[in-house]
Order: sequence, then structure tokens, then C-alpha cells
Amino acid sequence: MNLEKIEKIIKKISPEAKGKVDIDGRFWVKIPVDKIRDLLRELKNNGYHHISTISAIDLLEKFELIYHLLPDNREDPYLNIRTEISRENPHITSITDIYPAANIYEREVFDLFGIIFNGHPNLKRLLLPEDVPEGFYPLRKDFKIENFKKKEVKK
Amino acid sequence: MSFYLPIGPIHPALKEPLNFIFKVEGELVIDAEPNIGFAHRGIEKLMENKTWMQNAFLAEHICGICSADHQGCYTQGAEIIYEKKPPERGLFIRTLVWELERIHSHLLWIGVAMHEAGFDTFFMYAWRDREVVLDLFEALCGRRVVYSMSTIGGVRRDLPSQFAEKIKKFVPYIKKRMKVYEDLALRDQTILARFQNVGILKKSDAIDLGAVGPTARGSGVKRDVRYEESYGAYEGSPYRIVVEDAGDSLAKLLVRIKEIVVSADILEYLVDNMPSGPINLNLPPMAKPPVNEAFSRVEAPRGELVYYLKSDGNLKPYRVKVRTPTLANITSVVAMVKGMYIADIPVVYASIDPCIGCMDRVLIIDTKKRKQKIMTKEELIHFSNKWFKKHLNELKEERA
Repeated sequence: MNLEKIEKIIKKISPEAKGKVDIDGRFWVKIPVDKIRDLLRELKNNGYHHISTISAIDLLEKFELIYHLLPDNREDPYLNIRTEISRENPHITSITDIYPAANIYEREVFDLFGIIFNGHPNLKRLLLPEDVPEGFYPLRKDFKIENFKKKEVKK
Repeated sequence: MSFYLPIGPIHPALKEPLNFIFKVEGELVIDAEPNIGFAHRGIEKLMENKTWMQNAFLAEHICGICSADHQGCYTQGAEIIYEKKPPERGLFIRTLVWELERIHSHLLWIGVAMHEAGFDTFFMYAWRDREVVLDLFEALCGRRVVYSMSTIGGVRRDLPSQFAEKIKKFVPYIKKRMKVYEDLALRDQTILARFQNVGILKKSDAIDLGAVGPTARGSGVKRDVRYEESYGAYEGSPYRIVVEDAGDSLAKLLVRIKEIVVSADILEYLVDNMPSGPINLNLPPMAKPPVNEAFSRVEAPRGELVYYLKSDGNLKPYRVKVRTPTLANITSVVAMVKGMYIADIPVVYASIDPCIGCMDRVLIIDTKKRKQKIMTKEELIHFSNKWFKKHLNELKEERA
């Protein structure tokens, strides 16, 4: 496993980042928000061409995003790169220019969490219909369906 | 003059009904836009309100065709959360269900794709052979779909008596049938006319767009979770990766046919080397996990299936994230369908193994004349087959 190589790349971009390996051999590391694009671009040049998905988690006082990257070479570790953004102003720069496959995953996160990806070419709702009320982000922990009025349909 | 041709969205028979808006010029498709979410049921949110054990049954209801993979992927992740390792025999039985399911899913797909191409005899062949697999499932799990086999810490039922003999009889049968299928796929004029050089996905596109499963392997990309990491009981099994370089629909058909042979080999290995011992850890259903997180991947019949699980120490999960293979492949359809004829849409669309049932209603809008025409799925297939009969000779020269 070429763990040292990956750690070196991460250290170069963000010197204070500390990673850990879980029992399944996957590598987890936390990166500041402004370094994420540099790191992903660097990793793509080093044999990480596939992004499995982007997971978002509501941690009540902030949002966490995890980028799951698959190596081309099976000796390299599977990478889970996490970053945190503020809950009041959930903005992050899109990575669709680096990973075109991230297009649909970013739309999914935007749809269910309301995180805005700056520079995304087509940031529309993906799963929910387009006519849901503003602020309707069901996977946030403070989401309550009672807060949204039912639309009355005239007969 | 370009038209917009919306296809979809809803059909109750298969997973993920979706809607496509194709931009067409004459008979040629120049662009497409997928529109999904018609079957969004909020399962990720619902999972936060159920216990870890209950979620194993909820996970398998995400998809009716690859239910065992969803349940297996969830329980595999939950075992990392609980920091428990299931017994060997449990892993072997779980893998056995996965591989049987792959055979059933691929045969189902072959049948559907052949039906779309108007070759209904092959459809009957494939579904007759699938029936044999379903009978095996009935003997193993008591059900023909949605098997409820995996649980956190192993599986729920042991193999019934005489089951190994049944598998031993089944393996040579399915291998013989796959030889017939391969012959048909490579020689039959109907299949070649409809599948060869149709819906080509280039290798660079497959990597960029994040294609997974047989869609990626049909384009020469070596991407298979069974190959990348040995989970379940794949370590030591006669698994080999099947790759075709052409990238067209025929390559995807051949990949699936050859994968059934590989799966049959793995089945034989599993029953030959089945270890004895307990099948699960008998975890109490109300056991609380530690604060932990896990990332789990399995190779479902359609490709890489991904679960992310997070626990905050309570009985219920804090977050469950699911990424199904169809979502990863859906953007590839856009690249595949560009430059094809309208009549090719059913086959290209089917070649990633989505829910082809979404084609149930087709609405053709002529933007200049503002006229609408609604076609059902049957009418579109009928139109395609009639169109191909008329243009077969020109196409043969064009696609040779």
C-alpha cells in the first residue's frame, strides 16, 4: 500500500492535516475548505480518477462534506477526504471541472442539504420536484414537515 | 430544425423511473438531459428514524432486483460500526446469495434488452433460464425476490439440505446455456444490427463520467469492487475480471454473458469450500453501537454500490448515505446516445441496465408547429422495429 506517497501529497497541500487508517484499510483525512480543490486536482494527477460520491452530514453547528475517491491502482488506499463548512452560509466551490462525474452528486447534496456549490454549471434540484417551497432541505436535522404549509388545491 | 423528445418518467415495475429530454434533429439525437427523482421515497431520512437492525430490512427494499447487495452492503458497513467480524460460514452464504443474484439480474437484463430489440425468442430463452435461478432462491430463502438473508453479524438462515447438489447441477447447465447465448450474440444478424457500434462509450468518457459496473467494463475500464478489494468470501475465489474494449452495446451484452460464467465458477467454489460453524453472531437487536463511522462498497449487478454510515452511539444511525450504480451511470447515457438514431434509444438506454420501464410514455413535441404526440412504450418499440426493417440494408453498410 502506497500510504506514504499519499500522505506526502496531503502534507504538501495542507501541512497540519492528520489522517488515519480504519480497520478496512481506508484512509480518512480532514482538510480545510480552501485547500480542497488543490488537493483533489493533485490527487487526480496521481491516479485517483474516480469519485464514488460526495456525502454530506449535518453536524448541527456545521456541515461536513466527504469526498470518496477510488484509486486506479489497487495497491493505493481508498481515500475519504472530509471538510467542514459553516451552517449559516453554506457555500463551497464546485469540483465539476476537476471531476465531471461530481456534477450529479453535487446536485444531490444541494437538493437535500441546501449547500450551494459555486461555479456549478447546472445547479438545480435533482430528486425533489422544482416547485417545493424555499428552504425545503429534508436531510437537515432541524427539518420539520410541519413548518411547511400544505398547498390547498381548489376543486 | 430541432425537436425536443421527452421520454419517461414513471413506471412501477422497475427501480428509478426517470425522464429524458432528447434534442433531436431529423432522426439524429444531438443532446439529452436526464431528469430523475420520480421514485424518491426519502429512505435516507427514514433510516435515521429506525434502529440499526430494522434498517437491514429497509435497505433491501431500496431495490427489488439487487436487494441482497443493498442489504449486504448495509450490514457490512454496520459490522464495521459495531466492530464485529461475522463468522466465515455467514460470509460464504452471503456471497452465495450475491452471486446467484448477479446471475438472475443479468439474465433479466438480457431478456429485457432483447425484448427492446424485438428479438422475443431470446427474451423467452433468458427468462426461462432465470426461472431456474429463482427456484434456487425459493429453496434457499423461501422467496423468489427480496431474500432477507443478511443481518448484522452474519446471515439469518443456513443452507437447506441437498442445496449444494442443486448448485452442482445448476452450474454446468448455466455454463452450457451461456455458450449458446454467446454464439447467438456474435452471429445473429438481428442482434448485430441492433447492438454492434450502437451507443459507444469511449474509454476516456467512461473514466471521466464515473461509469461503473458492466457499463465501464464494456468500455475497457478495469473497475470492479470484487477485483479492487476482497470483501465477503471473494478472497481465494476463482474470480476474474471481464473486460471488453469495443464500448458499444454488444460489448456490454458480452460482458454480462461472460460474467454469468464467472459467477457460476464462484458458486461452485463457494459450495465446495463452505466452512462449517455458526452462521451469525446472534447480536441482540437492541445493542447500541459505539461512536463510529464506516464506508462500505460492494459490486452490485449494475456496478459499484456505496454506503456511508455514521453512528453517534445511539440505537438509531445518525446518517446513512446511499449511492446506487444507476445514478453513477446515468450521465454516461448522454454521452452514449449522442449521434445515434431515435430508433436506437431503447437499446442504448437499456445497455446501462436502468429501469427501461421508464419509457412507458413518450411525448413528441414539434416546437415549430406546437403539436404534441404521445407514444406509449409499445408504440416506440414498434416504431423502432419497423424503422429498422426499412433501413436494415443501409445500416449494415454503415455499421460494418
